[in-house]
Amino acid sequence: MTNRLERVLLCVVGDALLLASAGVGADDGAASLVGPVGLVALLALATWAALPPPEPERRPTTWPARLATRRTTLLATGCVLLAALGEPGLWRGAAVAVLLTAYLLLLDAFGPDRRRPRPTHTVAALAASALTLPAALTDTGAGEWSRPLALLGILTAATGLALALALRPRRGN
Amino acid sequence: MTVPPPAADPPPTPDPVTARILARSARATADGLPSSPPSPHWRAAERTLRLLSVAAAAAVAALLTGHGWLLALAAAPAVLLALSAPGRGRPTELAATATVEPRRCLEGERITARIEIHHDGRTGPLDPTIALGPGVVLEALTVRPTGVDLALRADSWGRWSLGTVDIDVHDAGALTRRTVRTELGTADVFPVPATARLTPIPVRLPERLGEHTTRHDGAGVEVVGVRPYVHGERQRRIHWPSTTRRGSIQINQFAAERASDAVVLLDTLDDVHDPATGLSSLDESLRAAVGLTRAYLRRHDRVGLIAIGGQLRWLTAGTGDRQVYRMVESVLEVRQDRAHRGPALPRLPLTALPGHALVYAFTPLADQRILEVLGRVADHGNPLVVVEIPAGEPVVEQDDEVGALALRLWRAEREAMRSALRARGVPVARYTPGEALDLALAPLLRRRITGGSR
Repeated sequence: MTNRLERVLLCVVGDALLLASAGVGADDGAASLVGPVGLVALLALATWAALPPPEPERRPTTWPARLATRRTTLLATGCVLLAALGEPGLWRGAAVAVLLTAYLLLLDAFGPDRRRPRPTHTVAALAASALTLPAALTDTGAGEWSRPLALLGILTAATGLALALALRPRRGN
Repeated sequence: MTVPPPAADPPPTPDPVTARILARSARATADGLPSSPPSPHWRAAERTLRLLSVAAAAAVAALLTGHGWLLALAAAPAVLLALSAPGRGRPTELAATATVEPRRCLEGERITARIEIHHDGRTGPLDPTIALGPGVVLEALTVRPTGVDLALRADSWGRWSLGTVDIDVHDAGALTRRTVRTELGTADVFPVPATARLTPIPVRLPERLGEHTTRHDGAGVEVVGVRPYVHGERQRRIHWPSTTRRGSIQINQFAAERASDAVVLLDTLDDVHDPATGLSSLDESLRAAVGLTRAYLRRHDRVGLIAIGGQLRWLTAGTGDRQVYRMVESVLEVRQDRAHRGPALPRLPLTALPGHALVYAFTPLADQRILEVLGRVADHGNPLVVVEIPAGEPVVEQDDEVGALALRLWRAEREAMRSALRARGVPVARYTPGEALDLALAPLLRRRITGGSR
């Protein structure tokens, strides 16, 4: 029963993430590009991709099979790219950010690893999105120099993340 | 009144993590034991790739489209990654040790393997993949924070490789993983002997004291007749009723008691599986042979062994409880002899075939070359009994006329083999798996088994 509830929860959040990313009901979202039929097809695909795949009976050898084993990652990444096609307002942007974080945390909890997220990590992730979103949507009068500056900022953040991840342990320390 | 047996409880459904490990292990077992060693480095886990992909996609999309709000989508996975970073707690040294008990057991008995992970840091969950050796079944699996417990079972006798366990050790944040491999080694699985108590004997027995009554006079305990008293004989052997009746002193006459020599000849030329029951002829052959061997050893007889097929294996006749284990150990690896099997048959080792030893040939009569071997035994002058191990019949569809004809030919060929043996005076006893071997051997007790002449 619990397992079924987990699957339903993952499907619901995955579908909601897709709908929010596609901007259903908004004029500038990807939903207006694909039309209602395309949206239904995307929704069906998202329902399938939202659930972690079972362990395959044979080692996947073809590219479609390999991609199918990574379908939850593809769904999350695809939703980000879908959201990039539109230019939503604060509330829709916040909804996408919250749903994406929720989906990633649910995958940690109900996915193959069954790793229960720590409350501090959850709060920190949501706080990071909440801090970034208003700052990003604030009108700063960006000019030609703003994009290289943003690239520099992203590279700095990526370097910091890489350093945090690649910090080698030393024995005795 | 017959009470129906209680319905067996269905096996408990494993939790999702265990079910995933079992499915992956089944795939690894089907792929065979791994030949290449695992990577000695830490690798990114599935979670890391997912969070990195989302964060990178959002950052790149933000740069390309100029939509700054997309950075908010990159922020959450980036923070989750940074907070889960293992830092200095990740182990630098990892090792696994396996303790397997017992290494020697009977068919169907449980073998437990306890694998412990030794490291010098902090680790997250363990994720094992078990590649079992052929003939080994995984009964239960328990993943502990510091290791893995396995319950294994082998349903057939043999020297089995238990398999290999690859354990993915995650760091504390489950961002990276490293694989540690441990070999479980081998286990000697002994056959469960068939029930047997009867010990038919040949006409001629060696001059060794034993428990089989012969036709010769001797100092046994079985009275075989009376004869007139000869001066000097012990008075306590006087048979008083005959003495009174005949009017002269009569003496009890006893039969001599001798030990017997038996040689078990195992046909390992082929391992035939019964299509209906799935039973292996090789399995059943050794079970029946061990049952018979124990029956003879209980009566202090000597038993030897010759295994024909593949590499020739033999053991000189010996007595004592340990002999049965020596015999089984000498044939535990016959399943690995397929590479040695060829059309040529080896010569019989005469050392393992004492004169007048009763030879029991356990064979499914599936390979005609066994007739040549049995002919050599008969030519050597040894009394011979063939114990036929049923190999089942090929399954033929009802409408398949060609198949039905082939089945008739197959039956005729086997009947011809039996007739050829009987024509040479070799009794053929048919053993049914699951039944006592005594039922097959009982007809042999009517008369003593004769051998050929050299």
